[in-house]
Amino acid sequence: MPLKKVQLHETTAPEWNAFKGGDWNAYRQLYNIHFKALNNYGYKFTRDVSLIEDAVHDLFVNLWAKREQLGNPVSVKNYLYKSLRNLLLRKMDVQQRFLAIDSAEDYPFNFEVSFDTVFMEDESKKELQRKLKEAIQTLSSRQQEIIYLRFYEGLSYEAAADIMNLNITSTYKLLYKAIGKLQDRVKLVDLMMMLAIIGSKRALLEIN
Amino acid sequence: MDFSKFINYTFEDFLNDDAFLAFVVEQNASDVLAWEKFRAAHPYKSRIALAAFNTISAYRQQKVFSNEQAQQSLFEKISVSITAGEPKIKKLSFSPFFKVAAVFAVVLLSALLYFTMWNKDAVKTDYGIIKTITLPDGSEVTLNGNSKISYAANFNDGPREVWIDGEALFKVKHINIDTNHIQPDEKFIVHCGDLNIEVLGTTFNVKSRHEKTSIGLLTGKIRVDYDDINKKRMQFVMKPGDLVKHADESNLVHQKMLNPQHLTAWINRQLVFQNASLEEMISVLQDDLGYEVVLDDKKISELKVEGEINVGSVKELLQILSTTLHLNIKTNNKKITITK
Repeated sequence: MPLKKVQLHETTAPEWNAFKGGDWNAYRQLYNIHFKALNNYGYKFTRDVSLIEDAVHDLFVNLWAKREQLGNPVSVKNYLYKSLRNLLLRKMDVQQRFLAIDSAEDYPFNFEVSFDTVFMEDESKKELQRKLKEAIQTLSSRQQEIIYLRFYEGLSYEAAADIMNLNITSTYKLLYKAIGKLQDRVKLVDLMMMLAIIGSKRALLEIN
Repeated sequence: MDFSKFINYTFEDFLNDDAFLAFVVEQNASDVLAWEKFRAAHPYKSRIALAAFNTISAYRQQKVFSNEQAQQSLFEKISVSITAGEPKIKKLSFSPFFKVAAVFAVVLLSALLYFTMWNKDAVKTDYGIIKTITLPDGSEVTLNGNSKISYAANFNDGPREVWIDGEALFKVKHINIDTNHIQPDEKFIVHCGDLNIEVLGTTFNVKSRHEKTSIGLLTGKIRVDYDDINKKRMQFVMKPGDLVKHADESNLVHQKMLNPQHLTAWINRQLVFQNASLEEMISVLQDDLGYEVVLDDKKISELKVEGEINVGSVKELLQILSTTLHLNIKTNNKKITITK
């Protein structure tokens, strides 16, 4: 199986090296390239925007302070995701402790994506998205996060496992179970979709 | 990409395949072509592939939280934290030279602002006000409520350029007759967000709100320049009846309009919706007409009205909504409260 890593808005090596060498403009550029994606990712963990901003703040302050010790990550974006995630969860953990929520196997918080229906006019696609939403809500937060990293961010198992501090086998297991659940619900819709398409083709033939 | 190797894949296999995922995420032109061929050659066996494709695509239609308005201010905070944390850097002291430079900067900035304002004409409409203006070249633009158009004062020299924020219907005047050989000076360009529309004499509707733009073409031909999901500059040439939609950092969605006349219903103050969710209707009430809509439960916004709504007033629209969706709707001036 060919492994192809998808990296949207990736930082180039010269930028990263310039930043490590103390180039303030390169640092600012790094911030501007990743700011939106980091906020979007953080928003999946919490709707508390000031908490996300705090985490992004700490992430970049640390980055500058440690710049001389930093290595060359395969993907700068993934490295930033991982760091942001650690910082954010630590901040949330503090809050969670005060709320005294039992943390079992799963996260003590939700991982939540909001679907956008405004751009979908095709009924069958909207139906598919509805089913998908239902299926995803039955998954654990961990599974939802893997699904997100994989299908939205387009990451490989290795990259997703690295960001979530999991080993690859458990990542694969988590995702495989999640996909099984998706399949059960989505397959039905697919069948309905096919029937609808065949139905409309037949209707067209009859008209002509 | 060779899709024939997927012929015996199950739905799960597709979702686990990195190459297939990369194809759905990136949708390179050459892969899309191979994909279409694969589907044409194996109409039945490619069904599962299509289901996997649609599933991933549907999942990827998500709302993006970019927090853009905080981008600048947070960076300033970060800079302050870094400066405060680095003992090497002395406290800022304002030398006389710095003070002089600062005054100059302020003067220069206001001068710049003055000149850019002075060089651009702008028309802005309030909520609920529809206004038709004629541009210096004779082209007509109808602005929906809460919309703004601006254009250079020397509009007729060189290419005609306008900037749009909100919704507008354009009837652009032909300068040339031969639409296949347009001279640079004959161009008419509409800018909205990071997207440009190059017009070749035509009638079309643009809506650009909340970083999303939709363009419907009624007559003529236009070319849309936009950034795709990989930030690559792309072009799309629209034909009459086409509707395209684009949001920041996503691909262009291209559809055929079922009822092109609905696109411009707003000029006659008609509120027209087709199988619309409450969310879509609320955005028109808020963006175009300046209402404030409050829901007691966010989930209400996902409710849908099947079929067509075509009414001439907000009052009628709210009546329909309350009867078909069984909602309690209270209006107080410009504030609408919707409860279950």
